[in-house]
Amino acid sequence: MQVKLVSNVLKANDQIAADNRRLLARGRTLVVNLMSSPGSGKTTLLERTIAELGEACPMAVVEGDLFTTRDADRIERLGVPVVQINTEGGCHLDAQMVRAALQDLPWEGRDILFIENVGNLVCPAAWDLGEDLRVAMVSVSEGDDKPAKYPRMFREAAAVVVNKLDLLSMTDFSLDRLEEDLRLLNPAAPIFCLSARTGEGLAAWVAWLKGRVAAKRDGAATVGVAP
Amino acid sequence: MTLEEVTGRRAMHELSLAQEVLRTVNDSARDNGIRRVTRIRLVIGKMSGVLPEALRFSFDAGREIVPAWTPGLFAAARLDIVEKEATAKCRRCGEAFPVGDLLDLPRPCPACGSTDLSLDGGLEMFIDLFEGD
Repeated sequence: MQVKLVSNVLKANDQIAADNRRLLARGRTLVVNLMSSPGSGKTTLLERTIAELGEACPMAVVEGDLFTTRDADRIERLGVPVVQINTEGGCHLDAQMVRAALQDLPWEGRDILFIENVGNLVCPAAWDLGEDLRVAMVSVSEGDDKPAKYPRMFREAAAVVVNKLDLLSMTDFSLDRLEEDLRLLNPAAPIFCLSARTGEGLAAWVAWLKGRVAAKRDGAATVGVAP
Repeated sequence: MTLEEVTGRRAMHELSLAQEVLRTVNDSARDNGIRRVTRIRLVIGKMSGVLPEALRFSFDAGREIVPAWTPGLFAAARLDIVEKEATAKCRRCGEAFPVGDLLDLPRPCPACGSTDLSLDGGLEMFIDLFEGD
């Protein structure tokens, strides 16, 4: 007997992600899945974003790393509720891990829940966590070919952050080349060039986030590109 | 016992993919009264980030371990992986053409000259069908 399935390999994960999405929709909390290579500056961007948005925009954070609680410690120092997920070798977060983290995190009533994924441009893109939108980040020292080499990550991003702009003059990074490749995959996502370290260019990113938070609060049907 | 516990590692995401394949086929085999799966066909896009050989390794490691509704369900199962080439599509004229990888993409569109192109195929990752008795 032949059984035609045409079933997504990640169906089980997608079902849990849908549960997460339903749960999170109750609180009108904007859920952002932040993804990049290791060392692009995800945690630094979160620290800066927390400092910029302040108490006007209460946040909660889920940190994903293979090992250590170092990232969660950094967020905790800023007085933001955070849960660290250690994947112990796993290359991405999945919806089940996020579901477990949500039970320990006081996310309800907060404007933004950031999920900082495991540093990796490949695997995290395939796993829906129940987020509203995905943000893909690349730092200038990594090179401008990242969207072309890791298309899935950038194709599904609602916004792309180019970090470490303060190092631009020391690299051969070309924003034009990055944009040319990115537009093949993703014609509409805004690109935010900034330095999370110096704060340069941060205002546009923060303004965009505020807009997404407002859209979510107003119950807009879509706040970003659904994965 | 999970596959991760048996292999002692989770570093390859192909392990979790193989586990999902076996679980999905198990459930469907049970519903259809199939006691012996002979073939499973997966479709994997070349830009999906999945390594077919790692998936095959994970499938072989997992088939004895993942709970099956009846003993030996996967003992004779062959895994066929169909790799799908990446294709691009012109957003203006709709012309579709294969690409080796994105950096090799012909720009502009070979049919109409537009530079408004998009990646179309190559990101697939699904179980197409399985056979058994």
